[in-house]
Amino acid sequence: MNKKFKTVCIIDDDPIFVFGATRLMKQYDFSESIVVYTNGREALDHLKPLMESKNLDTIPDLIFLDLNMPVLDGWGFLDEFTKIDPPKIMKVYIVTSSISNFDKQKAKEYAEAVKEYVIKPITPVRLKEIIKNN
Amino acid sequence: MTGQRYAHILKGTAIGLWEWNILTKEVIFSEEWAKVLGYTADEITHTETLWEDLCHPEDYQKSQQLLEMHLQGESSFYESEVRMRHKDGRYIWVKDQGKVVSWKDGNPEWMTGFHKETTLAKIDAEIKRTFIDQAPGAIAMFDTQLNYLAASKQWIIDYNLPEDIEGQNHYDLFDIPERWKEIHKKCLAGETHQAEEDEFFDRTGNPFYLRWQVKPWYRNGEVGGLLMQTSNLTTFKKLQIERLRQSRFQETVFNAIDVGIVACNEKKELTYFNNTSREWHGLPSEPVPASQLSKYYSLYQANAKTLLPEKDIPLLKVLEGRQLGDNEIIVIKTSDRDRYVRVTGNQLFDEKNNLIGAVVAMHDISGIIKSNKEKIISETIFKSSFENAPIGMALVSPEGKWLQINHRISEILGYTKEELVALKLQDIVHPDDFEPDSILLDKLLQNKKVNHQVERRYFHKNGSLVMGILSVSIVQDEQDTPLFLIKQITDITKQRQSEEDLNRVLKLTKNQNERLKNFSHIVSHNLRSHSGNLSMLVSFLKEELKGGQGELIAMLDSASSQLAETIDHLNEVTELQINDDAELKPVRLKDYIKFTENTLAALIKETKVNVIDNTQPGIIIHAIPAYLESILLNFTTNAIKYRSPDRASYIRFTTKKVNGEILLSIEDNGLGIDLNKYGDKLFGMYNTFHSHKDARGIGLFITKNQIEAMGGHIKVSSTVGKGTTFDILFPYE
Repeated sequence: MNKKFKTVCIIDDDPIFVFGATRLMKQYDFSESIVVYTNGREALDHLKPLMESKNLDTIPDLIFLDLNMPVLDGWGFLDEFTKIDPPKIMKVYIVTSSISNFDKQKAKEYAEAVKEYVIKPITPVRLKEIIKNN
Repeated sequence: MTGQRYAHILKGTAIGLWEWNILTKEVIFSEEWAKVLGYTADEITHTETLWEDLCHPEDYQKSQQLLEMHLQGESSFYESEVRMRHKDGRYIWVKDQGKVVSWKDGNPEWMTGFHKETTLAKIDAEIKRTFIDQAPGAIAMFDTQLNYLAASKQWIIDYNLPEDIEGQNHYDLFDIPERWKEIHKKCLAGETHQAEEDEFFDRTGNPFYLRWQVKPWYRNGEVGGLLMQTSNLTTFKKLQIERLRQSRFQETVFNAIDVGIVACNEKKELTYFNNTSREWHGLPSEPVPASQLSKYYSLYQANAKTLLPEKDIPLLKVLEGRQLGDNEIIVIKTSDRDRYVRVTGNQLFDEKNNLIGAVVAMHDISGIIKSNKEKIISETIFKSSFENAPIGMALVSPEGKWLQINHRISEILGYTKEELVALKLQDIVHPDDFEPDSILLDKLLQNKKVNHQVERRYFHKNGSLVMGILSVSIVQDEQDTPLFLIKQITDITKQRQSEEDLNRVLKLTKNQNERLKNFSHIVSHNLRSHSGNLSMLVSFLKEELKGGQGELIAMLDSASSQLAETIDHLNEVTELQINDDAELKPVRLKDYIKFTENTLAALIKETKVNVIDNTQPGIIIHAIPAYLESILLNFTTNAIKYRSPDRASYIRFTTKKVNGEILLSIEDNGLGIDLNKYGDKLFGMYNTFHSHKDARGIGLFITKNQIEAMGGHIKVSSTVGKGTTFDILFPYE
């Protein structure tokens, strides 16, 4: 199978969304491996050592980031993540159920890291677009 | 030559000659010599003691001294005037003169002389001297050498001379200046000099004043000496000077004071004006009759309207002995103003107490009257504004006593004025707020403040609490001594209550807003994520069933997507309500139009709608970026959605500056809206104006609210079948 991405990371505390997203990704051969973290803190704890290890294959190409999470939310994650110099291109997709204009506006402040602001639910159409655009 | 030789000759002469041998004591005298004494020559027997026997004992000694002086050569001749006994027993005055005529062995030997009776002359002189002595004035009589012959007692006293002045020389007694010596000389030559008043200085330098006369007196047609007569004017002069000083002093005072002084004589003729009265009146060029005085000098009654009748003119009243009132006020009209004048006066009498006139003093009290009037006015104003003030006002003494209380205080506190006066401050002030007036006063004085404002709680008579603002000001006199305090109490109980009510409402609103936020959060995150999940799961279900149970799945799918849409709207509405305080930022309008175009690029391309940006390049507006984006997207999407299928569609953005605001017009040539039908509902929630498949109706409601949240306004004009124009006014800076 020719998968589009080596590694994709989903940071979201909603198991149903994670279930749906992984199912769709598998269905459309989105990625060889999918890593899931349930909040920003957990994600950073794992991603930081990975990014330092220089093992490029295990470093996610794409991060699907939810905003509203316990412990450390999506914004908190971005604040710390953007301080780390990435060893390769890592694109962040904010995938949230928030349609708030203010969240959208805020996302633009992280334009260097954040590729797109995607509103849930994630659909096959959106997934195909992402594949197409990468 | 011997005495014998002359004896016969002597005896025959008609004058009383004598010859005397000093050594032998021999005496020869003539017939005449004896005759002076009432004898014939035969009747007198010559003895050594003859002369001594005949001479008055009081005079003998003196004559012997004079003789001895001559014999010693101290006088060029001998002269003495003595009393000698006449044959009839009385003493007569005899003048004896003689001279040593021969010497023997260096000593005087013979002396010859004569004597004659001088009684008459002597009496004459005595009378004269007595006359002079007793003269009431200061008179002195001198011989030609300025020896005193006589001086009156007054002279002795005036010049402080010894009683026994006769024979003394004037020049020895006084240091007589040359000027006087000159006068004496001229008088001895027959002139008379005099002066009515002459200034002299005594030994101590004090001035004295004399009237004097110097003239010669005559004896046998020749000048016998000088007569001097002086009158000491010093006392008189001093009085005169004193009087002059006094009158000058009075004159100066009269002219310096701001009181008009006018006097008249007993004939009612004005005789005196001081400076002030002269300034008021000017001086009359001719005497003014009493009947014309009021008119001439513009004298009016205190009402300033009626001319003063003659009988009421104060000066004339005083002259006639009528009393002036305590407050005799008249008005003098002068060119510049009306003078209110209070008049006092007195009659004038001469030294014999005869009435010779009257004098009045006129005090200008215009200023006092004016300030009195002003005082009355300001008191009236103060009183009425004090009493009727809508805030509580009280005057309080520095010791804290109520002096005056206005009606409003009674209203605020529920007590009558009388009750309040009887109460202590502690009784009506909340104990936590109580502060004695003395402390309040100290605070004001120390901080040099005129006004002090605090919040005070008072107890109403009915026990309820009155919230008040107490403002205290201090009124001081010119020496900064506090006179009283003015307290102003404003009842703010109602305001306080409504403030509390407001706070309660505010709190409530805040809570509700908080809840709304939570609700919005629930909507935007939880509810949306559930509905998102739901629609995702439905899509999986659809896929797995592959057409089986198709109808049911389709309905589930529809329900799920309608739920998602409703939640989206709900979210937008709540978000709008809670983000009113979002910050306005200056943004470039053109950038946002470009962004909108990019965002909708696919749609625009598909529908072939022409997007025309005719806005001015530099336009900056103050906006909430998220709102501006949403607004532009909304209008553009609408224009595309409701485009006319019959013509090439466009949407045009233009800007204009209008009265300091920016007008953004968004114009399309679409279907248009029937404003008569929908005008009032256009911007309402859930209204749809087009029978279009995508019409949802929430868009304009959101847009209008977003515009208003940024301080803008929106207007719409539209014609069905032609197009719609939205005019949006943004505040501009």
